[in-house]
Amino acid sequence: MTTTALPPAPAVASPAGPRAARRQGVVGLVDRLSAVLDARTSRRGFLARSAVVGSALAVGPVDFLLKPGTAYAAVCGSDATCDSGYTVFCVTINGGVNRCPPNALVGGWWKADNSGFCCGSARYYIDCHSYCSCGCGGGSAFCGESCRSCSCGCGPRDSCDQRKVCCNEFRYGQCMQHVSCTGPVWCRVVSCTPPWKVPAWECTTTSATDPRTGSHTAPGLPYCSGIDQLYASLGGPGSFLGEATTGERPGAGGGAYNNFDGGSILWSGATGAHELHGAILGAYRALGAESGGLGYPTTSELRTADGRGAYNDFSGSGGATILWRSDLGAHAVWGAIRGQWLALGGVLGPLGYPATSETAAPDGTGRYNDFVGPGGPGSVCFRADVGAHAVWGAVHGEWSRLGGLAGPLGYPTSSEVGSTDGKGVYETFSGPAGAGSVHWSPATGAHSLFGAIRGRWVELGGEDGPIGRPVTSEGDAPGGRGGRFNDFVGPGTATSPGATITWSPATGAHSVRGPVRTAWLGVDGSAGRLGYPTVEPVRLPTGRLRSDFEGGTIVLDPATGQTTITYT
Amino acid sequence: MKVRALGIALEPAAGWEVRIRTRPADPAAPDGQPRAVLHAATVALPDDRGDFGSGVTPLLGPDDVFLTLFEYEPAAASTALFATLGRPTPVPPDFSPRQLQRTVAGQSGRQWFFREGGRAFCLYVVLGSHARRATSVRRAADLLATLDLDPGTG
Repeated sequence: MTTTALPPAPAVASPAGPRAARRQGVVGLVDRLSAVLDARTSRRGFLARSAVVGSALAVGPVDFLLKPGTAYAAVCGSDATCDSGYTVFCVTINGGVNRCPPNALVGGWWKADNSGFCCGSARYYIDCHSYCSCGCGGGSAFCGESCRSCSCGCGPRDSCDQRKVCCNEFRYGQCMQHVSCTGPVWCRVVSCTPPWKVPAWECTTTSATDPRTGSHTAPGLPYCSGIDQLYASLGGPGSFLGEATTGERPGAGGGAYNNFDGGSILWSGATGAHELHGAILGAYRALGAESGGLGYPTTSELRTADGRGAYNDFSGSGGATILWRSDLGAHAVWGAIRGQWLALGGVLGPLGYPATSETAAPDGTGRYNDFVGPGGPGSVCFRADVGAHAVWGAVHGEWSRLGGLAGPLGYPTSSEVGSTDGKGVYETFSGPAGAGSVHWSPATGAHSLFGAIRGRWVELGGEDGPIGRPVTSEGDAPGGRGGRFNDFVGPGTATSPGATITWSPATGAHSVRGPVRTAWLGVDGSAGRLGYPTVEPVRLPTGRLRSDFEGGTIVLDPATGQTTITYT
Repeated sequence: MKVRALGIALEPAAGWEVRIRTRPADPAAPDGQPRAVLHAATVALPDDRGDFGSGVTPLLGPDDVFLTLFEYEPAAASTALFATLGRPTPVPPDFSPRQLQRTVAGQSGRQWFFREGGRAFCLYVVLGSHARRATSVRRAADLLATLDLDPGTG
């Protein structure tokens, strides 16, 4: 067969897209070209079993159609056969990973300038040599075959890189110069990062150039994809990401990713390429990586606004963020919970940093994240019927004391609201006991109301009524019989409450206030002979105020403030 | 006529083309320095040749020879790879078809790392025919016998 070697498939400086995406749209073309291949080549057998035909044609289908040459060269580029005499790329023989195999050392490097594979920058070739288990003799820089980690051969027959493996005894000599004896060149790594910037390679800046190898390539090598561009801009293998541990692989939804010693880069058409590393990457993977609800990263790792942590944003679930702080680890917030957290100022707000990732609530109807803010712990809880609301500070303390989502207060139905008197805040809840609330002021602290007592309190005007805000949380009433009570500011002071609402199964919830309350407590309140109030105070025609109890009555003369107790 | 540049001089016999040129520092290396490379061949040297002879060695006929003298940074002279003091004198047994940057059928080569005058070099010689190495190695050795290397300046 008389052939002319083709120019290589052009090194396309792709604007961003990964190999997988670029393949799209050429599948049909590949099919059509297959018929052409039959007519052009006697190497149909190779082509039929080659797994890289599609991608190779995707790179240069027009060249393939219009230029003469062997089918192998058309598909695989120049000098790709074993008898070309060049050395194979490591990506071909090292599990698809563009790095030296184990038991190899870096012996030197050269470059080809203005490479499309590196978006127009220099492309560097790094020779990986076999280690030697014995020394070199006769003044040679290469050890005998029995001392090597590899054997001379050719690249895989079905690959687009059949170049020599572990054959060429030649060393460029700028790397690991403290090692004078090596095996042959096992394989070649390519990088868009100068090799002297990769500490592990121990290379000097002494430059060698070989423009003839600028067109050499193999499936899986960097080709100026979005991932490649970001990797190079971060410093490539000399960066915190280190060397690749995988090739560029297709990800969920048409995206792509590449894993490295120190992290990952993920790309999608909608998000571009961004890196993840450390604990944030661990949390991301634990949540299903790009196949999970977080989707693809929309930022690389950034410092948080307060400088104490780091975060990545993600595209999924209506927007998501994984935050990390050294004392808390990395946790994810997304969706409505994240929206509430951001509305409150994110890490600079009262919630601060997440202390958990989003977690299913104990009752199975909602979800929550816990946070740690400047004032202590907080939470944002979500249930479809009430939305997402935050609880923090003293209100959170009271809510947590009662069991949080599993307690009587249940889910917050508002975030913190300022009281109309400007002296405190409150937050409402919806739990097993019905509507609830927690009220806080500097003078009273935080106290909860729920159930029938709260119902009565609301009827009486709530915080703005005569009862005012609670000064105790609900507790067991003296005297037992299943009774409960809250004390309130009422007409008293924060330190001397002026009202109480009691509840018992027999009487329901009713209030006792002012001098009547004082008189009632003077005879042991609910534990005394009067027992629990049975109705709200009633104003008599005489102007006096009558309060009925299980065991009697207290009548207040507002004019004098005197009370009269009558037992039944 | 003696060819001299960059502290390297060589007096080729008829039939040799010799070029000594400066390899520019990589622009990405802030402290990189230009270094010398000498190319000599019994064929015409193409302009787009690589530092170790790509673009040249496929042109060699059976009696042809190519050699490169490639200079490294001075600090390399104190490393194990460049521990050999003084230039080598090639002899036919040194050569092997495997000791090539790029294997070309029929050819053989050999590489020596050495230091001289505080400078670090690699001498790489490619023979167009391993079978005719006795003759071609002599041609290379005769040329190298005219090599002068100035001491390094620091």
